[in-house]
Amino acid sequence: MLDLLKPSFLEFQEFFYLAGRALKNLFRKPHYWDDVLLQMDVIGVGSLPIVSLIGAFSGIVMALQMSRAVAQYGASSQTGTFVAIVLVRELGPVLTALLVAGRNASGIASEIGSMKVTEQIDAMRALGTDPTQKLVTPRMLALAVVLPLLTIIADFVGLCGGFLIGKFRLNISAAQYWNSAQQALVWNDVAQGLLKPFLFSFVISLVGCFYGMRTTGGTQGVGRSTTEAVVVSSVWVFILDVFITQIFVNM
Amino acid sequence: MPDPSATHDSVVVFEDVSLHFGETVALDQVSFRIDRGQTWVFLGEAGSGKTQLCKVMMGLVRPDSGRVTIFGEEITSKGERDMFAIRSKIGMLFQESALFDSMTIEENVAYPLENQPVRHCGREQIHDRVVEALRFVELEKTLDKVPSELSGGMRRRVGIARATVTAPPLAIYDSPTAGLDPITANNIMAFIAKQRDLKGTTSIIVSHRYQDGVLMANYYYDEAQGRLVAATGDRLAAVDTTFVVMRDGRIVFLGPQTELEASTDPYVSKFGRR
Ligand SMILES: Nc1ncnc2c1ncn2[C@@H]1O[C@H](COP(=O)(O)OP(=O)(O)O)[C@@H](O)[C@H]1O
Ligand SMILES: [Mg+2]
Repeated sequence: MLDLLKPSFLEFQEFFYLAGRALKNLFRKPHYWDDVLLQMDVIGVGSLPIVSLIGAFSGIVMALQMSRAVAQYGASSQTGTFVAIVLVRELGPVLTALLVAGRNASGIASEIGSMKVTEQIDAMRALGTDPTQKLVTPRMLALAVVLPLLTIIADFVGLCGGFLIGKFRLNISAAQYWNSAQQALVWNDVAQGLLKPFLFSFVISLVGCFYGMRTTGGTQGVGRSTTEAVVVSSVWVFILDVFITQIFVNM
Repeated sequence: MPDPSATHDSVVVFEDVSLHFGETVALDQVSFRIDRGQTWVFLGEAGSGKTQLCKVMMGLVRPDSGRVTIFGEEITSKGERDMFAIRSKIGMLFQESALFDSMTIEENVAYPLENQPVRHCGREQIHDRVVEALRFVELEKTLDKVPSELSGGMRRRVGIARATVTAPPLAIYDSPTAGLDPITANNIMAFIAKQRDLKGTTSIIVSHRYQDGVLMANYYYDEAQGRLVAATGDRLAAVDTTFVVMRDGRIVFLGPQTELEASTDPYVSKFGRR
């Protein structure tokens, strides 16, 4: 486990080389839009049920927890405020990113990894395509679009979950809940709530592709890459989260 | 030592090519020259460097030292993007076929036509070319299948179709018969010989089976009869076949069949027996 996290300089260098190439390809032909759409479907539509479910539960649990804490100060009516702030700033982006990392960093790494060990990546190069352009860039683009959208959905479903608790357990009216939620959110929260998933998306897609592309050693190697992709992308989501939060807190 | 100035008709020239993976030596000072229309058979046990040799030839792996010249162009210093034009002149069958398993057979075979920067034919003709290439390997009925639905031998045939759909002047077949039963293996070799003899493709065959080399060296595809027939006299001379035996990345034998069969070296003669 610790071995997996031990960052080696060479690995970093290779990772940023891949990231640089994937970004550069955005401005170079050919563009594989079909693959972008396919990946948006696989990652975005595919993750929708689980992301909504977890979003709803986190809203519910948070409202329950908050209700006790705030009740001590007689501020039950402010439940919407707390749920909105915590969800939009922090829990929505991070939970969604972790779910998508578990679901899709692994999926990307295993798909590309099995292509690597069966020489399909070499075949792509032999037959006239750049695998970075054909495989990495579409996944990166698709995730950059889809992860913020998924986060918005998780936030919204979470707020709805919080509302159910507010209404049926705390007797807060709909108007009161949604008003306090709306007023709680300022530009800063929304910006950080969208910037986070946007940046996380690059970590997830590129780490998944990176470990896929460097897979060696047959089927076993694919398993190893998959695990590494999930662990490393999850850890980096948290590290990045700390940095971004730090910046916004100071603003 | 091949003479670098004699690149007139040479298709592939290796000059002191070496390749290492850490401590492992994959290729060690490999030199040879392949001319147009020739057939070369590379033999050697597993791990002797045959696959890496093919990949260096295709420009997929950059050697640590030495020069590789393909169709008169030095490729060892070329960037990835400049390689695509050269690669489009080479068809390659990968060891395990390496078909794209997310695509249908038709999409697989159409891939080089659609993706290589060199335009082989118009959009409208792609389908016809694909069917023609699949008919060549007698698989035109599998267009809509996916690779996992095919047997190992059929996948190899699709791999041959994909490698040759662009009618490349040079074809590399990496272990086309590995893991196949003898009948299927001979079947595959017949398609390779057919491609060579009907299309005039310079052919490189990598194998651990000496029979594959013998077949390439002594038979030719007769169009009238629609099958392989034993070559005799002038025909035999025309089938210009060279054998290479590799061991631990080094060439330990290079010459015609008669010399290979006469070799007394225990390792080399292992590959010179039917
Ligand atoms: N990606 C790689 N990493 C490390 N060693 C490799 C790699 N690919 C091949 N090798 C080594 O290079 C040598 C030649 O391999 P290869 O060309 O695949 O042999 P062959 O095709 O003749 O069986 C072997 O010793 C193999 O272990
Ligand atoms: Mg091999």
